[in-house]
Amino acid sequence: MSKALEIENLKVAFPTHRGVIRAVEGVSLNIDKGECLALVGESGCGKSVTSLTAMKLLDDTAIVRADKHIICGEDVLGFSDKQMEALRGRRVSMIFQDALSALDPVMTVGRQLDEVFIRHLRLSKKEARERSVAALAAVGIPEPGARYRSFPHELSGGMRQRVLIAMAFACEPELIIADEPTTALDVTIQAQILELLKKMQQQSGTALLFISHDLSVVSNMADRIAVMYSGKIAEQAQRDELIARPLHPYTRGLLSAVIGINDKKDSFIHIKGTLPDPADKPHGCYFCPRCSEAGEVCFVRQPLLKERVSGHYVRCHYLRCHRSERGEENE
Amino acid sequence: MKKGYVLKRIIYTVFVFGVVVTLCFFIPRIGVDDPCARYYPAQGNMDDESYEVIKELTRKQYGLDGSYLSQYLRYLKGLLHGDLGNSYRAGSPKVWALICDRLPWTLVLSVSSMLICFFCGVVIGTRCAMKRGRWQDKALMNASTVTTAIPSFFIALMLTYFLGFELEIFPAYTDQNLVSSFDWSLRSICAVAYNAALPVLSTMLGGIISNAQGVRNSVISVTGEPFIVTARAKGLSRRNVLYKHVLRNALLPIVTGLGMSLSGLIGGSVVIEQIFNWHGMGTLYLEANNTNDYPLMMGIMIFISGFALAANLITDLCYSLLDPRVTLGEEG
Repeated sequence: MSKALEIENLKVAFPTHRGVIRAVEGVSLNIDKGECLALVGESGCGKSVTSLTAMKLLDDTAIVRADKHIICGEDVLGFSDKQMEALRGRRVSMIFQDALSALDPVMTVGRQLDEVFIRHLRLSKKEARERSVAALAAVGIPEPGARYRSFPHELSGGMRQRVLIAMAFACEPELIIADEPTTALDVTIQAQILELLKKMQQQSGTALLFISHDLSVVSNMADRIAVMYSGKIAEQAQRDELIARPLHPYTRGLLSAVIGINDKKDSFIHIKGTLPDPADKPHGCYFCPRCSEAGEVCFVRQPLLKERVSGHYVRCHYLRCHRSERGEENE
Repeated sequence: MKKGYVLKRIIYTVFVFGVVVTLCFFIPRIGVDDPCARYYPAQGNMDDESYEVIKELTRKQYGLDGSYLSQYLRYLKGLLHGDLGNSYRAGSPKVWALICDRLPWTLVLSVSSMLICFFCGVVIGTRCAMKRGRWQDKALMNASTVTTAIPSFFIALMLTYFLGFELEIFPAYTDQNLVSSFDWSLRSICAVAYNAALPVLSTMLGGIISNAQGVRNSVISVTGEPFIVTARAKGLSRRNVLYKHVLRNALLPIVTGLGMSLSGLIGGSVVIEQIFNWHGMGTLYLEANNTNDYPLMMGIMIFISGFALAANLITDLCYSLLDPRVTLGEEG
């Protein structure tokens, strides 16, 4: 089956005056056509850098290395800026987190949408306008004709996010990278936007790389989930598998931090400590300082990402399984 | 709401203008008991009575009769009719006519200097922002340190010496027949440009650098905004993003500054005009000052401040056209 996105062994580093910051260390991602892969992790773990690198949108100060980088069948590893520009917005597009700052404040949202059509479909201004109004209607914006002439600050947060979604889906791309598209929104609006995103994705058969720090948001959207920790994939599996049988202690921590409506927990469960400083990462497993189950080997040797069950990858020296198979240990 | 705001701004501007007029009227009168006494020192061969008569006639002629208050009211009345009074010069020309005669010459200098500063500043600033941290950028930084330290009249003197006297590329002093022989023909327009070269050059050097610096900082800060990444993610080229998104946003503060600097167009180059003997408002003001021509001084000051106030008002009211986020009269 052909892939919408294939990244192998992606490494991103930023040289700073404090030393080299390794933001992403050997991440591999595969997304099938029409599939939704969620990339989950705390802020600062390298999710956003990964997404920007996937679009080749990082600025020149970053050092980027990858063994393989294929978008929609095109090997973009050696692509020039110009070649990437033809791809961006047309075959792969992006939805950003904060729609207010992600839209040009002094240009009407309609004209910003027009730009996509004019750039990629070579439409005239008038045709682009018609397409834009239709695109605004498709994402459920009331009075699209009037909203076409609105400036970003005149719209509500949910409406702005809808505009960004319309922009991303404008040319029916094969892959959309959504970088925390609902984080800046109220919970009720969040649900609407997720619903819309899901509907649009299914209608157009677009592959989606959904980046979030919130496992509960992701669990409705994703086919597969990859958990990222400090620049590395900690665990990756099909959604149901990962939620039912999380193997990595970090994933388990994240899952138990999710609160269900029927929970009778007395207190919030949280993972102690914070993400390691990217300029000064611990020896051994990056998670070990925060891990309640870490053994001696964890402080010495970095674990590798291994396939434990079919399609279920985990980066941990110990293979423990939550609930059903607790106590079983390998290695 | 919007109408109310505009009205409020206009009333405020008129009020400030009134204060300026009052100050311009009374400040020259402080400490002067009888202006006529200075023009006509008591003559030995004249009796007191006829001396008084002559002084009174002189006062009447120059509008200095009656109390300060009545003079002030008379002046205000004239001002409301657009009359700035008469100069003390020979022939008592209207102040207004003198200003109108000089104004275009000053504007030739200041407007061309401002436009050059703006466009060169934008081009250089944008270039340096694109080449951030490289030698072009560093050169701009150093140049701005130098040009802020050197006053424009010093630059004017250096230019006069090197380009005017040593190399004789441009005239070091304005041709005095320039004004009288001006007839809108191509030849005389070229002559004006030729004569204006040095004064414009000396005022614009610092302006270009400071403008470029402002544009550079502004462009760099806008380039870091998320909506620039969005525009790039849409597939727009760097060039396209620069023209359509970066500059449009980065120039907002620059254009505002330009509006504010309109007020300096008339009174800003007194020294430069004097150095090059340019037939403009600055030299007119200095002439008025040197000859104690009070109505002319007052007229020029009132005209300059009125122009500045109007420029500020217009900039304020136009700001919402530039930046849609700004709505007039919205509190906070």
